[in-house]
Amino acid sequence: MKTATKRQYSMVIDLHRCVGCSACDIACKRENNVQHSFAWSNHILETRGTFPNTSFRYIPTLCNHCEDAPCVAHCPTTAMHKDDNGLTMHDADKCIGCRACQQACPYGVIYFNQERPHRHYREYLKPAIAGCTSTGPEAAQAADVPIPVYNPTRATTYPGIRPQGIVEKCTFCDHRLAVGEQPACVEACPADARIFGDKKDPESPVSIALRDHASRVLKPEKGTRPNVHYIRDY
Amino acid sequence: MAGASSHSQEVRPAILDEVNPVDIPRQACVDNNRSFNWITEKICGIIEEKTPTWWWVCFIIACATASFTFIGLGYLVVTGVGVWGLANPVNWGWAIVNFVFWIGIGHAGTLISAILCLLRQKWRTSINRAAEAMTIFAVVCAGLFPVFHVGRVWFALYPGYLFPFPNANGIWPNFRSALLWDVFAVSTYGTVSVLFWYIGLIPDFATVRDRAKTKFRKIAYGIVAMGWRGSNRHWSNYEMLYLILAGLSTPLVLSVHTIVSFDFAISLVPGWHTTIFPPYFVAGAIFSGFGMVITLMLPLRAIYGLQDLITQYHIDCMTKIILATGTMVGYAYGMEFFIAAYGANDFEIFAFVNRAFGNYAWAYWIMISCNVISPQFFWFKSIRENTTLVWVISLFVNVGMWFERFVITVTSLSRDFLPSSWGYYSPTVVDIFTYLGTFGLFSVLFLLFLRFVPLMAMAEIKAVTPQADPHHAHTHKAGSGDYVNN
Repeated sequence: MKTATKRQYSMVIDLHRCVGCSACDIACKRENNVQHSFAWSNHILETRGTFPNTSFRYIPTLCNHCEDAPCVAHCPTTAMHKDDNGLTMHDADKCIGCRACQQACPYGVIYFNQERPHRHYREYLKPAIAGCTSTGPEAAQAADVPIPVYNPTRATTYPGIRPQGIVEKCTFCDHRLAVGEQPACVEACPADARIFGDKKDPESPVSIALRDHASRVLKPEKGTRPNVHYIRDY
Repeated sequence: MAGASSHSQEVRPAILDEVNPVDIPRQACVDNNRSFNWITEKICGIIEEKTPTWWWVCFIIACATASFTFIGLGYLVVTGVGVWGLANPVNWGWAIVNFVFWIGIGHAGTLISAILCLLRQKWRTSINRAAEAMTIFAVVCAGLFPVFHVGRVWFALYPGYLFPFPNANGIWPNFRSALLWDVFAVSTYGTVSVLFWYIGLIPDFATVRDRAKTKFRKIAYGIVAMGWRGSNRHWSNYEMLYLILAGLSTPLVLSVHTIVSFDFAISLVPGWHTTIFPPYFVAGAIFSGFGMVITLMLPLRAIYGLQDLITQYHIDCMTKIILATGTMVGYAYGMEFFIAAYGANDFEIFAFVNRAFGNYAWAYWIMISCNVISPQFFWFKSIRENTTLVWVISLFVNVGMWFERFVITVTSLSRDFLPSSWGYYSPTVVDIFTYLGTFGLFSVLFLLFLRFVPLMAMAEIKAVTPQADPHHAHTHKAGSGDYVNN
């Protein structure tokens, strides 16, 4: 469904600049308190051809914030919805955890909390290196925070840690956008491979990048009209 | 009355002597010329006799089995959905498989009560009551799974999240979601099935009330008979209501499983995203529903000696429906491959090749053997007349239709677009026992039905006996004797 929004936040990923360091993945986990085994910011690794004519591709992935988002159409409770900035947002209060969005999403970027989150930190009482590293609970106690790594600013627009029984996904760091900052993955990228901005503003860096380069999106045949574009593919 | 008198003179048009048409007798729906009284005694006898020992044994086993479901679901609510084998990439597993399986089982009831009623299929009268009961109990079992598979069960049941009570908490459900259509489709289907079942029961409850020997039975059956006296006015209203309900619920037979298929077809998952799903699901549902009707009715026929009421003609009709719908389902299996190849979409082609030859090939070929090959035996009259074989094939149909849902759900999800997100789904012990428990729950309800509700629609069966025909007296020699009372 086409929705008219004030802005359309989009991301352009310059694959020529990307060095594949995964700093975006780590920054995202840190910023959004993303739990063990989930990766709102993720990547595809692809090796093509046969030796010696091989090529290697590293494609960073995240929620595409599709304009015609199948997760929004499939959610029975309107927990998944589009906001005024064109973001595909998830309302944790309305989510019943039916996972219809997960099945509908062709990109596999929605995650479901089967159990109480961050079990890894709470229950793994053996240190990684005995006598050297701390366990999760020890570190949490020392830092006086719920888990060793907890960013309280995440909780301004979305539960800081998503509870058991609901899904979660990338929000383009809407809590950072609200105070005029860039998403954490964009800020963390050492190669400036990620460009973020309002696609409806013709002078935004995103619009300029899309104007200057041929771009592609993931699975265009699904008709979802994603807002994460890739330029300068090898 | 003029018409009646001219009829009694048996004036035969001359043309009939000329063309000499063959007089093919209608197949009898009740064998051995049984009388009205025999039918009443037989069916009321089932609920009036002392509770047999086998019933108690079965009831205790069924209760014990049903407890698996309640223990499993209780554990799930307390611990989290992680106790089921759902994990990326297969996030819908046995829960939706079991849901679709039970909803499919329920299909035969409405088909028999509504569509066959409108089509004036008289043979429906012997099996409609039990099939409708089966429908209702199957919907109860089905309903458990979608409710409990969600992460926050208490929210799914909370008014406003799935049922629209916007003022209660300020939100509306999403009417674009196939899951919400399911809520309405299944609840409407359940409601109309209960209504249909109950309306048909009223004259029979009145019969049981009138025969009751204890005060308790008189009062209990009196309440549910709603003051039925069998007057002309009552019958006229009853017939009209029954016909209206049949008309209303005919679209439901088609809509429920169509909408259940939309849960899959509306998404973009290869192997699910196909337009053939609605008709294919409806055919499969009728197929599995009749499979279950036969599985239940043949043992009851033997136990209660109902061979004169569920005759070979009934078994023939049911097996032919299974043959027809099984063949349709087989056609759909083939057509899916053709469309995938013809559509030339790599993901779609892979999804189907993987179904037949991938990790789950064992499940696929069980499905093909049970659903496509086994019903083909019903082409042979000798097999249709062998009750044991018919019963065994009906079991294969039940097994095959469960596997069909398993194959559709799990094979498509286990192979995501990227090999990095491929997985192999396995159910946990909790999954398995929760599912087995629903058979116990179904059996508990069905056994209670056997004890307290007339198993067959007495009033309707009497209406299809030869003596119920207003013209019967003209074709039947008076005083030749006749109806067998014992």
